Amino acid sequence: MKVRFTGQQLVLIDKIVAEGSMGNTREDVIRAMFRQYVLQTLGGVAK
Amino acid sequence: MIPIQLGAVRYEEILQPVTGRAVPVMQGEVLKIELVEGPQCVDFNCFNLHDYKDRLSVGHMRRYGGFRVHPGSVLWSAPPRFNPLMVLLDKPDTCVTDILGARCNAVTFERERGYPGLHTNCQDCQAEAIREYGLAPDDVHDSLNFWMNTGWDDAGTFIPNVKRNRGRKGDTVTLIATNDVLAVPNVCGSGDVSNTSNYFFRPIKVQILERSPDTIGLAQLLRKQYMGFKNQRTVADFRNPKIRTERALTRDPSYKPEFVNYPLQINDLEIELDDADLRQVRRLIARGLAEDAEDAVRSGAMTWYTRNRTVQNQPEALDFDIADIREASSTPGDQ
Repeated sequence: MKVRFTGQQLVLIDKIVAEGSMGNTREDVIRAMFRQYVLQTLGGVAK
Repeated sequence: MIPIQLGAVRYEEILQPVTGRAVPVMQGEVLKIELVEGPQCVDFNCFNLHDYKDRLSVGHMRRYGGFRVHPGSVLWSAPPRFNPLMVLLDKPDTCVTDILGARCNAVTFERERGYPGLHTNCQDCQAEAIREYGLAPDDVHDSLNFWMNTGWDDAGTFIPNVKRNRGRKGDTVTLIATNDVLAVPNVCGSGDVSNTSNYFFRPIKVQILERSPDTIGLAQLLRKQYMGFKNQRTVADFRNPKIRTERALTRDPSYKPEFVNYPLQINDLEIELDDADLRQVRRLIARGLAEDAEDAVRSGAMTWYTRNRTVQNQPEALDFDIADIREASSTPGDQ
């Protein structure tokens, strides 16, 4: 799906990309951040 | 208080009700304000001695430290400068501080209490004190209030929730200058009609202590901690560095806006989500945490950043080791 990000948001996301622990591309990192957010916010995966 | 050796008193004055005084305090010097008889609210303004437009912002103190001030609290100047002007070193628990009440003014007493004439007030007292340095009534800013036991209710209502002043004779607040400043304490003018000073006025003592090796070192460490950010601007950074002298506002016909990072750069990214992700997106929307799928992914990712990669507000503190202070005092600094 298409998601719009500002250039400023990508500056911060690129810092996480540079860390290397959550993925090597912006797309991988954003997906990983989203999944961790869901885990932190909603808890475990709903069946 | 942090165990440092303070310098000798170089200036001392008793401020009578309902007066104030503007006193220069240089980097590394210490300012003490003492209740000499008993409970008394003290309003406090502060300006960079070398640029009066760089002045204390209690709003930003609230932003970073909450509604009360405590040892270690930084007296920040307003953005875009955002300089640490002074740091509170010590105060007794009986000195409850206020950064909500702004400052009392003559209209307050006329409008709210029906006072028919000109009642003493901190706006006029501050204005008179800073006049000694060529400043005007409009230069007075919202006060950092010492010994002002304000309260507030769930709706944020301020008046009449000022509680009795808990100050005691001998109570002293101690501040260190981390920049050269013009410090302006005054004996609050509302004292006889409010709990702010328990319905009376009392004098205060103001002292300035010379720099000592320890205060030089501490000021250096505080400057190192709170300065050096590239977005702490100086006048040299301003697109318009002038101070207006004309009072009426007129449009600059040559004005061309140059807003920060405008127009915003917007990037489309293709984020692949699996079925489990899409179920979570629907849950987020159902709970009101997102408007649509795009919002769910973007807000989710950025909320994760906020939660996990953002320095959260921490109480400002004086957690320096005395050995570090003394080492800093022996190191050439930026005095």
